[in-house]
Amino acid sequence: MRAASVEGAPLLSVRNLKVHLRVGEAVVRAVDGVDLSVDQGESIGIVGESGSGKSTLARAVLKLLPNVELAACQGEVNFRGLDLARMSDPALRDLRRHHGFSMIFQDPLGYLNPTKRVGAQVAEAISGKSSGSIGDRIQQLLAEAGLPSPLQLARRFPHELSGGMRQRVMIAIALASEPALLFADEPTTALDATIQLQVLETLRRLHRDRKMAMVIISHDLGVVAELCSRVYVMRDGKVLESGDTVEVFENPKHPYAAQLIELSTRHRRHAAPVGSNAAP
Amino acid sequence: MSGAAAIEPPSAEAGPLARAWRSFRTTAGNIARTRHGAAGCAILLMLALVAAFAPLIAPYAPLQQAPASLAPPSWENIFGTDNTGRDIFSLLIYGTRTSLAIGLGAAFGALIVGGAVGMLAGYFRGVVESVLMRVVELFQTLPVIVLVLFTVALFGSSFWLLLVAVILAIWPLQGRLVYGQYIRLRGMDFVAAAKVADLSTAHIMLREILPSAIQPVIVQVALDASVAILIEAGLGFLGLSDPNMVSWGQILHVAQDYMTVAWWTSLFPGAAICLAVVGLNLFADGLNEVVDPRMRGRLAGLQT
Amino acid sequence: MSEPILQSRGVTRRYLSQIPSSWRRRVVNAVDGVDLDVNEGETLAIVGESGSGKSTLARLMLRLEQPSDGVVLYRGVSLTDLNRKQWRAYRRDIQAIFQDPSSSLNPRMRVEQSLAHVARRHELAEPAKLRAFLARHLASVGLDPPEQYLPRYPHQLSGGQQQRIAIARAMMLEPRVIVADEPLSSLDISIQAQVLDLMRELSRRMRVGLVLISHDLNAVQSIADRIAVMRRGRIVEIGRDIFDAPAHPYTRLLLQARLSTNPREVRTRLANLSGAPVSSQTIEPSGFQV
Repeated sequence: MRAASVEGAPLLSVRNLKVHLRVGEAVVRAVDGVDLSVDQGESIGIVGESGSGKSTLARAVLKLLPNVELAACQGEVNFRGLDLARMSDPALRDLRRHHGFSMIFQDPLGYLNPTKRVGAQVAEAISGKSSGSIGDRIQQLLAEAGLPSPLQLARRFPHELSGGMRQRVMIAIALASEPALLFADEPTTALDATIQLQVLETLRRLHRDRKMAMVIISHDLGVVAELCSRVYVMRDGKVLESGDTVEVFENPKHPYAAQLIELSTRHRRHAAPVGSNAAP
Repeated sequence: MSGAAAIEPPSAEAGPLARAWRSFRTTAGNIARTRHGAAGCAILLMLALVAAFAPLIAPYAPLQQAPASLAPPSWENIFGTDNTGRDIFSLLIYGTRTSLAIGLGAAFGALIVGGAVGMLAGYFRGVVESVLMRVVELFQTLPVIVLVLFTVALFGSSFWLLLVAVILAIWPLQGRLVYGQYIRLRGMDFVAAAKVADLSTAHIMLREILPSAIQPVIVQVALDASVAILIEAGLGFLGLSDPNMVSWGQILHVAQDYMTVAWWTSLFPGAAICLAVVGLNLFADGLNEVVDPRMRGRLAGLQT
Repeated sequence: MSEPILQSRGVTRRYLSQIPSSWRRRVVNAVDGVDLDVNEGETLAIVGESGSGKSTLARLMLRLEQPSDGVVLYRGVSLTDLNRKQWRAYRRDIQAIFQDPSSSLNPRMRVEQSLAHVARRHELAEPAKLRAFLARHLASVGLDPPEQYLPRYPHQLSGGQQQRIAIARAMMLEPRVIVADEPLSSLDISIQAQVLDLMRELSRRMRVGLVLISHDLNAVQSIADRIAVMRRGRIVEIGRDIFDAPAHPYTRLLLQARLSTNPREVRTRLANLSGAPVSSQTIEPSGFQV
């Protein structure tokens, strides 16, 4: 798949994206005019609380939202200069399988097939010819995702693995298509703190070694601080602030961003946050 | 002041009965709005009216024998007559009473028996659960028809005998359903909170858990009623029903021998049974759509 | 402080757990020989990761489960030996708040009904004064005016509001201790701080002890008098200043696993690790530099 990429042009560019969802009889503006860009090899973060639209944004870009719930979806989404909105389904699938983008989710247990061995599930994601057998490739991916004894592990079922290991399997599956861009939706939220650190380290390593761009979606500012060079802060479907992570964390301009950052800082003390009146 | 003050306080004061009635009315209205529910309601309403006003609708007293036996449908007897000259149309109309009585009676009987057993087994678990679930299984494997045969041979048949027989046949399914619901719900945090607040076991089982358990149970009641009608028709067909009682199954029993020569004696009762069963199933469909946890449906899995 | 109001002595809770892909079952000690005192008026935090047994210990203290071994004592008497009067006192003195407020409030009951059932059971107010009583307690957790909350179903309220109602339900009984099992985890960050503040304020003002079970070390540090660290069913360390001066390696591990929310510090750390300026996040020179 040839992409008309211009040197210096962003890998992913989202302009004025609006996603309206049907909820019962009402229509919710889950994403309300968002601009976003990811350069090649860059790692950005999208932070927000529940209802901010961050997950919907990612799913909309990857076209993962079920049609029944979609009331409207408009805006420009360009990947390597290609307009994703106009892409046919087969072309999109092709993009997902070959050097395009991949996604990992919060709950690997819900994502993995409980009746298939882990190795088989990785194999499904491998496409195209590879140098060497599929078996080797599976092991290579599992090892790259940080799993020990990949040969034995490939024969296990998901429920036999710990949460952290399942998350790594999901990472291995995501890597199989050699993506240029990896979306991670709350990748460590369900994990214990000690495991979280390790998985984050794995993501950082992959980002560095593969020069893979990443979009990390999280409500946890610590995760974003660890992994991302730029950050977008969302609330109610809009981006309230964006910029270099250090800049935003140290000098937030929007009061909501400032509030979030202050609440997340290490020794959380009693501060009543900015602008709180009635009970939320 | 907020609009909430104007709307809500009286309802919060109302006792459980008033609340149940209001929620029943809303549900009934919603059911009528679904296609299946509307059709089912229409059929059931018609059958109920027929049963209620039978003496007014039926042209003949059911057991009245006319000279023309096995007469095909005509203006005098729109559905024809059976072998002793009784008007089939009138028989069907009076039979509606029996069928509805047994259908609904057995369905509610199954609800009470199955509900109680399932509730206790699912909430208490342990020994209680083991014992009660074995009882459920026992009744599931019981050959009801054989038992009814024995009983009728020994004691003769009656409406109540049939009612009990049908209840015994169908209650295990409801029992299982309620059991499953209680097992699922007993572990929820609001039950734990109720225990910590020292609310009584009866309160927890009936006031806390029951409202959440009831949805599929209600649907099952409608389905049970349709099954009950079929079982009663079957028992009647075998000649096990009370001869003094008019029932659709009984008409079929009599019609057995004349199926080839007098098609109307079996077609119309059969059609009546079908109508009742279909009506109840459609109603159950409508009910199902309404009681589905719609609230959580859409946004449930979707986090933003 | 007087004698501890709640104690656990050698409390163990065993489960038989299925080994995946095998016929055999294995004994798991969710809680393994735990000795713990809960003193009146103090805030005791129990931290640990998943599988540590902290939630199970909470349930044992609340008598939602029974220990396989050992005893839980209320005012010196084993929970299995309490007479009727003592049992009622226990159920008033020890209350609970759970993790997911949307499921700890009965989804089919309006708020007023849920609270009224508890109030009536314990005869907290005469029927005529019940409404006012409930309104007062809602106000004390920051929910005012009561008409906005009492007639509602839980799903019509936000997570923070639901949790406040759960707190009101517990506080209504004027307990001596509230056992809170991960009360903040289901809430948004901005709400967590407010609910934590509320709990702190109520516990100080009403002199109610708190047993706070959490995996969030930061939240715990800001509110706890004593902290116990659990791992695999055992308490590995307990004390007042264990976060400032952790003695046990596991405690140190937990503290280290906290993520920094200081990106500048993160970058410095990464730069020092690799020994060279890490422009790890972009490959274009036009990107930022560490």
